[in-house]
Amino acid sequence: MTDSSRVRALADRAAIQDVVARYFTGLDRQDFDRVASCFTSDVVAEYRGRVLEGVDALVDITRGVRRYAVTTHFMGNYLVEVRGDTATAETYATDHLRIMQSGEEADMSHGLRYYDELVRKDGQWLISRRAMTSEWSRVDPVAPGPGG
Amino acid sequence: MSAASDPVLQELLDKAEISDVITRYALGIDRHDFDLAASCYATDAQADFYGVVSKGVDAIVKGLRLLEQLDNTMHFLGNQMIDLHGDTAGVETYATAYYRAVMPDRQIDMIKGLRYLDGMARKDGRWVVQSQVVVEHWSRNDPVLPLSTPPAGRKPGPKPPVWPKDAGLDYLIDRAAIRDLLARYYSTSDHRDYDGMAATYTPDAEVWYREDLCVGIEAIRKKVSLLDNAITSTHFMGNHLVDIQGDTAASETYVIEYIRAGPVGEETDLVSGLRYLDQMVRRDGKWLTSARTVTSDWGRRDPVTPAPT
Repeated sequence: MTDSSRVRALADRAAIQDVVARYFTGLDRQDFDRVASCFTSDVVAEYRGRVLEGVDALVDITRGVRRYAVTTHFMGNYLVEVRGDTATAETYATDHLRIMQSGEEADMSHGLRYYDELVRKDGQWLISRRAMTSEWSRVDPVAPGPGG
Repeated sequence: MSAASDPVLQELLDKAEISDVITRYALGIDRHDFDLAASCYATDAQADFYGVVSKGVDAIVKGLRLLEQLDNTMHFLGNQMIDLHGDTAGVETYATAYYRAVMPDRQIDMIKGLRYLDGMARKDGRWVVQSQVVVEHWSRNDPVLPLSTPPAGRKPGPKPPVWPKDAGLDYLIDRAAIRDLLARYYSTSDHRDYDGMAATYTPDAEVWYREDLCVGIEAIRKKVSLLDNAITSTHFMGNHLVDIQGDTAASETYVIEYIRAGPVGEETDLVSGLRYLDQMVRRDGKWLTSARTVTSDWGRRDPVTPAPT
């Protein structure tokens, strides 16, 4: 590989990670244009077994975050593999969703994995296929601190 | 600054160095190494921690020293977005802070969802934090049920590397390859792909898993395959710093480990804050882990109330 193609490979990897990060921050800011900007228009996604076809259907599902007082989608491990103008990425995330349960605040969280296929379109990486699985979930009451 | 002739490469180098500054900062405050934390700031930096403003690095560090009152802290870094403009940059970093408070009769974990908004500047050829705003998005206080085998306590990690003055393309590629090696290790372990897991080690690797020493790949495989007893496991990777010297490297990685175990209806999550202190070697052009110490800084046992589906 020439130096410039090695630089391009690194730049692709960084750009792909940025797309996934943009998706999560879009969710947490409830900026659904930002969420939509991460996908091809004909994206096919499977969220916990539910198949969503097209970017509008996918964005509609993500609007569900509006029911929570606060959400954080926290990114961890990522593995990216680039092949020319396509790429695959696996990303770990945990979500933290502040809910009301029987009149008390609680945090719902999930251990999530995202498997993405991406394509380069007009110089921009976009997610064209996605499968999201939830590995575990839990609900924790929000207890007052030592100082109340 | 080692100005790269390729502007794309220069941007990648700048972003990697900036990211490492934020990681060194987190490592500094978690280790109570306030010289390390201070080295991440410009001397005339300004910081705003939850609305409390400090001016100058000395005042900032004085504020950070409040963390010494806690038994243990882990500032675990996640999503990061860097907006680069020549010699300045805006950085947004997600962090989850785990603060363990030990009281005579009980222990509490204060867990906070934070966002760091850092204005960075290149000064004298290196990136430093010029202005910092820390925003709290959520926080929660969890009573701690200790693990049946409590963590042995914090072990110091290696001295964190400084960004090498001559960092270039090869350095970035090695840094990325070592991160991939780690992500592959956690992913294969969580998927119970023990062949894939074993392929991340040298055959003669030595690993301290908490208090147990495993020598050689078969002993390691036996140890890691204990994950078969879990319902599910997640090894969630955060902060990572690596010191690369030719064909060897030393790295430190933060990991939150979630192990779900127990009979149906009575599941428990064993949650631990781990650090992986690793030695890697390059063999036939591939990076492999040759020695590893897994240290547990904190742990807790959480009975599971599953989320409604």
